[in-house]
Amino acid sequence: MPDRVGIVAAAMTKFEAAKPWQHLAELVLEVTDKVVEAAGISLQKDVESIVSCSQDHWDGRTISSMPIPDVTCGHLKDESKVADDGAYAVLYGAMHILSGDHKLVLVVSHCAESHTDGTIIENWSIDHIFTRMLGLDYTLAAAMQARRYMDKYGITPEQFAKVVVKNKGNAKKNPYAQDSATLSVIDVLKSQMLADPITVMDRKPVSDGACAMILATEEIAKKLTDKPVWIKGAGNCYDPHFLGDRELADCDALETASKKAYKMAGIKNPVKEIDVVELSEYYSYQELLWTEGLGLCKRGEGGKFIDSGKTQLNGDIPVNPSGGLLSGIPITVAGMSRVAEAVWQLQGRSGERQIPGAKLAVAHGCGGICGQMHCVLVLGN
Amino acid sequence: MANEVVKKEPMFTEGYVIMPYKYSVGTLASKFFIEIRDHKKINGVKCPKCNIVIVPPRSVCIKCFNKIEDLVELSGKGTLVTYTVAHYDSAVQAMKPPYAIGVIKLDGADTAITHFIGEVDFKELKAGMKLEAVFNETRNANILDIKYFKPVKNKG
Amino acid sequence: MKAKPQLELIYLDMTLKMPFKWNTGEPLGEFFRELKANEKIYANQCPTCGRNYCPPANICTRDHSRCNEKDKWVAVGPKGTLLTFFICEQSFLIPTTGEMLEVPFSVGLVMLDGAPVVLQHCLQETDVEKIKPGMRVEAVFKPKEERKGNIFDIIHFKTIKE
Ligand SMILES: [Zn+2]
Ligand SMILES: [Zn+2]
Repeated sequence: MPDRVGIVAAAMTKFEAAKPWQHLAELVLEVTDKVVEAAGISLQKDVESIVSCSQDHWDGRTISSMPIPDVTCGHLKDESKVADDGAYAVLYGAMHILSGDHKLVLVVSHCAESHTDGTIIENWSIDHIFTRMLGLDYTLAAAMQARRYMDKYGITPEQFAKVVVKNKGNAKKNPYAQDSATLSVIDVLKSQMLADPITVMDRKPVSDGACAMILATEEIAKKLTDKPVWIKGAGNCYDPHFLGDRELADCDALETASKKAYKMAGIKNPVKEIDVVELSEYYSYQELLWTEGLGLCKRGEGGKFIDSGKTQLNGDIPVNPSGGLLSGIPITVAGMSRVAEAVWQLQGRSGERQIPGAKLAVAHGCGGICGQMHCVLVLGN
Repeated sequence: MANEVVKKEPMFTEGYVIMPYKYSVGTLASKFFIEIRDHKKINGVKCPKCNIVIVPPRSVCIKCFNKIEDLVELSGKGTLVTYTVAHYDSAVQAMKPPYAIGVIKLDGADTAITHFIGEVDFKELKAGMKLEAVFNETRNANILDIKYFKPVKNKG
Repeated sequence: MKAKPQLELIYLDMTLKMPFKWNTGEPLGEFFRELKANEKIYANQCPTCGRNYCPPANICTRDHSRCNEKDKWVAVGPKGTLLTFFICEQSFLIPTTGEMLEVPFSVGLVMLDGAPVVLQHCLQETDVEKIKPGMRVEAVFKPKEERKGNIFDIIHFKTIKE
């Protein structure tokens, strides 16, 4: 390894149900300009490589990264795209630096979910031979995972609802959040049932926005900021695609990914050592399941863990102080926005949602049906 | 940028992305669908190395990555692993809501398949319940040749 | 040699159809408003390097300078000079409508009068013998009530004699 990878700065748009005044590349432009200003660099002279994250189906164009160089001064530069979750773009950006090829990388992700009907894209991500014709989408699959989780470990819809209450409440302190609310467990349980046990409030809302970050070598990161955030560990892992090939009540892939990341970062006791967690809960039950996969509690104890209050904003190990995906973050941007939130926490830039003295953070991105793939990044200062 | 033109209406370009596909399902899945279409039989595959039985069939073992070439016949009966009832409509759904969909482990198989559950009172849905496949009258060699799985009635 | 028994191979036909409503954003939205309301085609210029853009750009793709002040926009066209073109003889499914393309179909790059900018659009002429780079063309607009504020408010460029 040449040296460590530092995150110099992060930026986001405000997330909204629709952003009709900006086209896709303009979302990228907004966060690029913000992050370049925050990092105090020249887009033209300093950025050597651009790793973007977007998805052709969501953008409704083949090669969704096509307009990115136009708005990032990327002509005649190194440009590559991740068509997965945005946390992977951060990982690949870090690899660009660790390879010794580039000293300063812009990573950026965008998505405007309001442009099309996402259930079609979900359905088309599913196995085309044996499953797609059933009309399966992520919400139906998630409902089956949630049900299996309830059946195996006795987790309850009330415990799922607590995640919504916590995250939508936290979002009130986040100026970038789309949806925030003071809710009760009853409000969530009584909201429109989509697919038993998942209600409309248990699901992340449709959202538009973008996120960007500047990654640099240790030497450059130290020159650019007195608050560099280091990528201390990384792990990613895939589960099989078919729901029937997996034990849906456990997240083996996330366990593997987080163990790899913790080992790299030298973390022995995650719940004691980690100060703050930003994870990707597309549905409320996933936050409970992912806290298990991240080793913050034992298998099957995700329900007890939320009951304990430890994951609240003022708890021992706050989870999603930003409001998480339930407060409205688009797909593909999701994981990168988790990393950006973690960076801000470690830089002490999180305003009202700041966890005092945060030194070690975990950011998690995931994608695919029922969390098929997971990417875990350990960040520290 | 966003606020300069607030008095005007935002502009949009509307259209579709339409792409027709003709997927070849491959040799193994062809045999699988033909067995369902012609004989109302659901087949899996058995890994010759680690002996696990996989359905829907794959040409590579999901556990040991050994190559698999032959189908094994399964009974068409199985157990419900998990399920949900869909209460919302979408552009891709094949059934009118409300309807039940589940993950079903066929007897003798080590993995499970996803399909509809029919002829069932939603309140009676329960993991572990016994189910059997019901086939459509007209069958076109695709997964919808199985109409749904229905509860096996207790005899006696 | 014995013939191998033929296995029937199964195919699955599926059509992906996603409805889209793409935001044009600004200043592209303003460009379309002008097309729709006033039959005006606008271009703008980078204040740093002088590069011209049609439709107007909000930033220069070369040097990232902002260039979106509307008072500096210039109306270009509707006449221009053809730089190059293609004629499509083979029909195919148009993915944005699901309809087959009517052929022959020609598209040209038109250098518009008023600024060194090039707009890509359909040509009325589809006879290869009658299209020559360097020839003069002019934008033909849809009647006002049919214009929707998109690039097809211009039907095509027709050949003109000057
Ligand atoms: Zn095997
Ligand atoms: Zn310029």
